Amino acid sequence: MNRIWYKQLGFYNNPFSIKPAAFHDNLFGYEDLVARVIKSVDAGNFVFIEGEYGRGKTTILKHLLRYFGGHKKVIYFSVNRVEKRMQIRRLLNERYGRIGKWFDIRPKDMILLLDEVQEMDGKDVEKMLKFQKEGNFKSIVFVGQKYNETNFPANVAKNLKLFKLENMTENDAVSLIRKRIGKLEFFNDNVIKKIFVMSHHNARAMLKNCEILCRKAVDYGSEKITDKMLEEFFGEVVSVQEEPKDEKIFLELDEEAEEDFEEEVEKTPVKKTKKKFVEDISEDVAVEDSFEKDKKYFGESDEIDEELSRMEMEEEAEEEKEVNITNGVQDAVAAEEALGKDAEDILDKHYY
Amino acid sequence: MKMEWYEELDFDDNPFKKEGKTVGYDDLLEDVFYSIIAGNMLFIEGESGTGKTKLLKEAVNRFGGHGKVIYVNCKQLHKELNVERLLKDKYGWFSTRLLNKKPKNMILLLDEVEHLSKRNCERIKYYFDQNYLRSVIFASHDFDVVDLNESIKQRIHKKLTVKNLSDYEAVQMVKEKIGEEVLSDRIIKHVYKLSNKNNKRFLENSEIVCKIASQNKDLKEEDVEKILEETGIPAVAK
Repeated sequence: MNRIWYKQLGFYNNPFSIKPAAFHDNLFGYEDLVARVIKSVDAGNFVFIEGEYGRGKTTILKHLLRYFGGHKKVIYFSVNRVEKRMQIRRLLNERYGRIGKWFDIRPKDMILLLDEVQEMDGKDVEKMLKFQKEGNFKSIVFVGQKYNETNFPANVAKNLKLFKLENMTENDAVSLIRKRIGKLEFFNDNVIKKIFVMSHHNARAMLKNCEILCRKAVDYGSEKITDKMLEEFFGEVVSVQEEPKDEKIFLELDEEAEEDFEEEVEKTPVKKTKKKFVEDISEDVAVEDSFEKDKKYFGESDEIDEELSRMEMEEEAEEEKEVNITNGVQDAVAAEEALGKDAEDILDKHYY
Repeated sequence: MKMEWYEELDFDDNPFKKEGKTVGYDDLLEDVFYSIIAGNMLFIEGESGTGKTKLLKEAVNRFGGHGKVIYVNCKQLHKELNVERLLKDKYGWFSTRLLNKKPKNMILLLDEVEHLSKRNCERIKYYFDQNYLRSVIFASHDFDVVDLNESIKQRIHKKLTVKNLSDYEAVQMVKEKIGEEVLSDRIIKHVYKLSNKNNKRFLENSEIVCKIASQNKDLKEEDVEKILEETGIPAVAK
């Protein structure tokens, strides 16, 4: 049990944690939406964000909390915590601690972020509206699975802006994983996309599956996650739009250098030459806008990879051989050790 | 003074009362420990008496001692008692009420979750999301029976199924406790079969058989059934 896969890879915490609080600074695919939400919050509207399980509702709220936070102007509250009915007055009073409770002091112009509002009903909303008219609330953001009209009185519904969370795109999913694990060689982008599609475009399910796969791969000592492993795990493999593989660059790097990879790439001349390539192949880029996004996040392009791989094909072929050989040796050593252990066990039992 | 049966066999204590090593659970235990360390939710499913509680107790042994582990049997969880209170009380009255500190990284082990209320489910979800709970482990006899929210189900990483021991493992387990000589393999297997492959009952029954075997050295397989019937505990497997 002292061998935990992510610790072996040099992570201190589980990089695929599904808790929204753990990595609330990465938000992918919803930049536009968040910008619009922020705008309408500033304008003092009511906002409702609806989305299905695991799409990142709470993550977005966390992001908003960080954006507006720091001036004691935001209240974050998860409705599912309460016993019977929300006590909105209490929420407001708590801003001033115990004294606020005693004298019913209420702050002005607060922003209220409410999570899991499917637990709430119309009366709560009316109460909130009352406080808003008195100037206690500047804006309220509701987040829930489904917008339920009956819960919202007509005068609220009129001013309410409804946002729907769409699926993340495949490229967003790749960026999300990359942000968390850096340039780990276990996944290449195609594999991440496949996992994402097979997780039904659900971000949380994808993180879960990635974790399970990664753990398996590390336990079995395999170098990367292959289609075969995916097939074993999911029972099927979907095909996604193939992109030129970029694994070859990794062979140049030591294991130790893995974590510094992103910085290194920025320093190396690769990045400078990249622009030329991009110009050369500008037609391709025009065809695929998605490429453009990739570059923004990774600071490298697949075209270069192709070019590089062509140039260094021979060297890499040699390197690959070496890797294979060393792997073979390691396997042999491991096998010997295992044998040795077995033998000891047997001896123990006999003498015991 | 009359000697107890285990003293005649040179044991200081009753070997069946001692907490021994678990047999056949290594993989399961590893999964349990892993999900606690990695901060996941886990669901343990298994028939009664297969050792779910035992697994949870192992987790308590492994991670306990830092005031982080909470083991709750939901059956005993009174309706009004809620998980929120539980967390705060565990963290200490002083720091939660007076300093208003929030618990962090707690490990929650829930036994018999079929008795868990919806409200508490939502609370668990909230506390898990806010990272007050590092990891939650549910244990119940059947995943489908348990009335968990969809959102909790989505957060559960893995469903472990605790299976009955194989005959060989059952023999191993008893031998681990009482050594090689007292009972023969065949008798142990027979006892296991008669105990409906239920671990708890199996251990009880083997204790009874052991008691008699310590006086009667050449115990036969056929006798076992009679002995167990006399004590009135077992339900014979058909």
